[in-house]
Amino acid sequence: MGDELQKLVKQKRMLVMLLTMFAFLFYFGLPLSITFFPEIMNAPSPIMQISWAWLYAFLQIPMTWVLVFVYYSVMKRFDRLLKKLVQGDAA
Amino acid sequence: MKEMTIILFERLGLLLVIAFVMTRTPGFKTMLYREFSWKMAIVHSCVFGIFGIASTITGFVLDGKTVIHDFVWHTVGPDQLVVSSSLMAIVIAGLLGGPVVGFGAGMIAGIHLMYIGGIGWLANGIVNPLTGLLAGWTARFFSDERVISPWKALFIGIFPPVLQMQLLLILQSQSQDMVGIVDMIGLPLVLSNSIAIAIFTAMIVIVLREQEDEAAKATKQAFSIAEEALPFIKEEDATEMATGLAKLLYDRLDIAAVAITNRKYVLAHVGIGAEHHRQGDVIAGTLTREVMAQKRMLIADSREKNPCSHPKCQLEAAIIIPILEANEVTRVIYFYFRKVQHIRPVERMVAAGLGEYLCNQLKMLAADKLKAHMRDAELRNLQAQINPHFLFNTLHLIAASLRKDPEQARHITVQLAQFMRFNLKLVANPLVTLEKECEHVQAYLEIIRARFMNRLHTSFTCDTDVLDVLIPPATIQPLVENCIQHGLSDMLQGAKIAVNITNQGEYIHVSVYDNGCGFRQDLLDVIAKKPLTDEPNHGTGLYNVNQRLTSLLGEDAGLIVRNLPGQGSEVRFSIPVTMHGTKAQAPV
Amino acid sequence: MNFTYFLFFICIIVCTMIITYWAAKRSNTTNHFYIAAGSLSGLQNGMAIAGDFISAASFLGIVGAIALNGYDGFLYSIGFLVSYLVVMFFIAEPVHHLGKYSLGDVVCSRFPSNKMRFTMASGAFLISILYMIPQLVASGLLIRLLLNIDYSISVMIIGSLMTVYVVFGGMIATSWVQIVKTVVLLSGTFLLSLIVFSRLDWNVSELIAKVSANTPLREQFFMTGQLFASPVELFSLQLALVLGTAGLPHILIRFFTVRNTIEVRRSLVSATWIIGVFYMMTLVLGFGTVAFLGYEKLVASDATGNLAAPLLAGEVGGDFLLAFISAIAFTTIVAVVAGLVISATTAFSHDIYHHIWKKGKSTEKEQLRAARWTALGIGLISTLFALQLENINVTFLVSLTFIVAASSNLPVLLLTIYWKRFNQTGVIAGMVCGITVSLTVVLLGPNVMNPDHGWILKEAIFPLYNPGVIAIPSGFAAAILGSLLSAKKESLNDWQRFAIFSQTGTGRERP
Repeated sequence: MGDELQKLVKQKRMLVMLLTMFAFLFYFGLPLSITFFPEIMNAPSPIMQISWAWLYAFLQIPMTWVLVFVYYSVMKRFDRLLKKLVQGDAA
Repeated sequence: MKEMTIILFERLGLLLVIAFVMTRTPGFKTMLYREFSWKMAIVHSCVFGIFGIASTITGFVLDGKTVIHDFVWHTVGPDQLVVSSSLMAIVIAGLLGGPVVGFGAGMIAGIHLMYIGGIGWLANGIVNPLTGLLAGWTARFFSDERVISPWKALFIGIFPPVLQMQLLLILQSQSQDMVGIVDMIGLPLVLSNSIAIAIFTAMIVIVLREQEDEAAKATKQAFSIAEEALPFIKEEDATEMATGLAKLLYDRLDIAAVAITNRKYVLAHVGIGAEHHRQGDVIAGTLTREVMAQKRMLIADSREKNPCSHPKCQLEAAIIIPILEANEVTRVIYFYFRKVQHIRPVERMVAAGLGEYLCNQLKMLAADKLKAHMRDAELRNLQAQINPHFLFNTLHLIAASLRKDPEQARHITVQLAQFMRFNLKLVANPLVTLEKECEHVQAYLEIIRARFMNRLHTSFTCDTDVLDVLIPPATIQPLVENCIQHGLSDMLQGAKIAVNITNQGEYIHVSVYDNGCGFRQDLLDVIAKKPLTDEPNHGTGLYNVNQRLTSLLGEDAGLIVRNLPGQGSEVRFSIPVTMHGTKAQAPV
Repeated sequence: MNFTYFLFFICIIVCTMIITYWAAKRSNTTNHFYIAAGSLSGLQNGMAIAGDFISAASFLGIVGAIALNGYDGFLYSIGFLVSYLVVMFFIAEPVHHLGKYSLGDVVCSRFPSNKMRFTMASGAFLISILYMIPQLVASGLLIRLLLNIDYSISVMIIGSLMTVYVVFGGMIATSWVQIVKTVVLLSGTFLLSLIVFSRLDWNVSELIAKVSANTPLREQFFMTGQLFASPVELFSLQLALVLGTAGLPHILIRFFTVRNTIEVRRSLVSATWIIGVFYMMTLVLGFGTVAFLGYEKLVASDATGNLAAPLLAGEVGGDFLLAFISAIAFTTIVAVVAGLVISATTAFSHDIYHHIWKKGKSTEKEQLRAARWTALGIGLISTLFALQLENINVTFLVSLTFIVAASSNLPVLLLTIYWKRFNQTGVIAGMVCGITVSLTVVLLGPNVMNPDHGWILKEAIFPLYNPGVIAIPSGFAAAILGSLLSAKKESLNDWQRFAIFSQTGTGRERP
């Protein structure tokens, strides 16, 4: 059981790494863009004439939701596998 | 604002009175049981919807800053605002009946409000169904309680008017006045609605508690009736039983009269009309006949069905309960009432329950009696077992002696006859006098002596002062038989059997001794306790005797079996000298 | 319209008292008291987390920040929300698996020792108090606005109320108060936003136009950079915000109140949705304030803009709505404060009293009594502090708390859960260093040392208003160095089992 379990945990770790990297890039991209590209950020975007800066900031909210949801659904599968492993071990 | 608060409270007082009356109706109580059926849901929605409409009508109209005090019967002008307390009814509908009832009632009240019109027509129209739905969901959320507590209802009741105010602001934001209006009516509505909801909820809690108290009381009563009826049921005498039971029922139940009859006439009548419903009166009435034919409970709801010869008889209605024994109606119980309206569900329940209970009890009693009979029969059966081998051997002996020694043959025949007569008579009585049993044994011994002649020596002693003690029949003879068959079967000569009966004060000791080979070691313990059917010649004799002794006289009277040191064996038992008979009493 | 306010005020108090009473009837074991006996579902717990998190600073402060500073105010919301990703990915599940009542349990499941408990308990204690003070201050300001009551009295009222809740109700009361408050808060905010929109005939561009008209910043309002002078400030703030939540004890102990991992995740899903929606609405409200109330009026009431939301309500809905929204704000504050008191109480009574003082041998009744006395004490202490801090900027204290949490609790927790080489020395080093550095850096920063209006009238030594970018790395560094430089090592086997257990909840008996 030890090996299977370790593999599973490693998979989880990889998922978390992936998601975190994406999130951080997206998140810290915002202050970085503001610092380094202020003109672009303050120019109006095609959506309702609000600036890119606002759009980008606003998009952080759905980004969070999506990532949370992805994690949750992937973990559901993970849980099922884990349960099987544990039960198999107990049997 | 103060003026409005007071008006609202006044009007709500009115509504609460109506609500209180509503809670007294029997239909209301059914709603509190949360089972869902579409029909009931629609009915309840309508009831509460109408209540909501009544709340609107008893509201008032706001025209600018002035309050118009009339009831709101007609539609209002486009600048006026209807201030209605319909939310109270809707919230309660939701809390009690769930989201469906709440929504339904809300729709009804909302449509009415939209029809009445005025400034806030849309807001008023929307907020009612919405509130009903939300209140219903909230009730679901708290659903571990039967009905939400008044305090929580208070808390919940604060929010719908707030919602209403906000909807007004959202949907009618153009009129600058709206802010001022909201300021004026917001707080009065919140206050009055929430308090009214809390009061109504408290009313409901009281109703529920009443119901539960009633149910508890009725149950307690039913149990006590059942307990006290038992001794009467066991009563053998029919009239005694009837009178006692009738009195008990009359005392416990709040009815005009109780009567108990058998198939033909009245056994007892207690209560109103006892003067002319007397014991021994013949039963009349078609309904009674029907009850006896159909074997189920019926209600006589008019005089025709329950006729009485006496013109001034006050008893108009009755519940007729048949009591069945062995599937035949043997008794009928009547619960009499002065008027048919007096028959409440409680009495109906008690009647039905009582009928069943009595039937069951009687069944059980019959079963007990049957068991006792069976036990008796079993005993007698045990008693009647005669060893066939003995019969053959004796007849053979008679035949052999006929030519050589006719006197002997005749003697043995007489003894055999005696013995057999005694055996037959055994079946009749569970107990006989010791004297008779001694005669029985001696007859047997005679036959044995004739058969074995010098090979066997027998002795028989008995204390003469206990001859009238009662013992189960054929308890000694089988013991002797057993010695012959087992203990002495290998002895060719010098065999001895001794039977001793001694008086030990409180007990009589009976012992049968032989000098044979004794019992097999492994059989010693079980020999009397189990019928050893796999042994040759069965081992049933001792078992038989032991059974009868223990079942009639208890474990202490059982057989004690032992091998004597040296040679031989002894079987003995003791009988308490509690039972005496005289020669006349124990029929032979 | 004092009468209106007063009535509403009383109503809300009475209702929450009732909930507490109901909870108090059921809460008579420590299990119940501390963690609502595992009875909350994922959704309910999520609502409670949202309730705990959306404090006065979120509701009142952010609306004000957006109203005053436009874009940069919104960045606070973003930071607060995204921080939940850090919690969900790294902290929530391991904490749930490893601990039972407090964060001390979590660390002690790897390093069982009283020193660890004490360290974690002190950290939790400190952070909770730091977080509590701005709440009390904000409430004092609010009550003062509404009822014209003296600041000190309002603070004392709130302080005693919330203490009563916790002393009698324990965790269940606060959970349910949070849940109720979340529902009320969200619906109230939602409806208020609807009112704002309806006033503008449901036209968004109209909103933007009105806003531009009414703020001194004009179009600049929508540009970046109004609040944060330099990119370093910006970055530092974002760092502190995104990492801070994962170190807040009163949020983390919410993961003990659910039954299993799935519910933990569900709580987070619902919490993030609720919080996200809420911040969207605060954006609308912030704009609405500027559009309808106007910059001058806002600043006249309170220079920090903290009272924007209630004032907006008053503007569009009269005194009735003002009273309602203020009541909501009040409940919000009370709820959050109650949550904080619980976490501080847990830290003290469970970790210090039960484990350290009584060496694990106290009865449930004793623990309960200790917990209740602690709650009382904490309530008193923080009320006393808040009384002294009338003029302090509320947002400052909250962000300070985030910096402290991200520099001390977070490194310790993260390294405990994920780093093989971590050891007890690292724990102590990280915690002590993190707290010291963050406090120092703030005290020596322009918030406190300001020639104009700071406590210390000198030029600031550390020129950052948001010194997170200095404090947080030092916390991590201290923890890492502390472990590397000390001798103690742990066996590989143990570590592997621990790692798996913290990730999956299997493979080991729960301590």
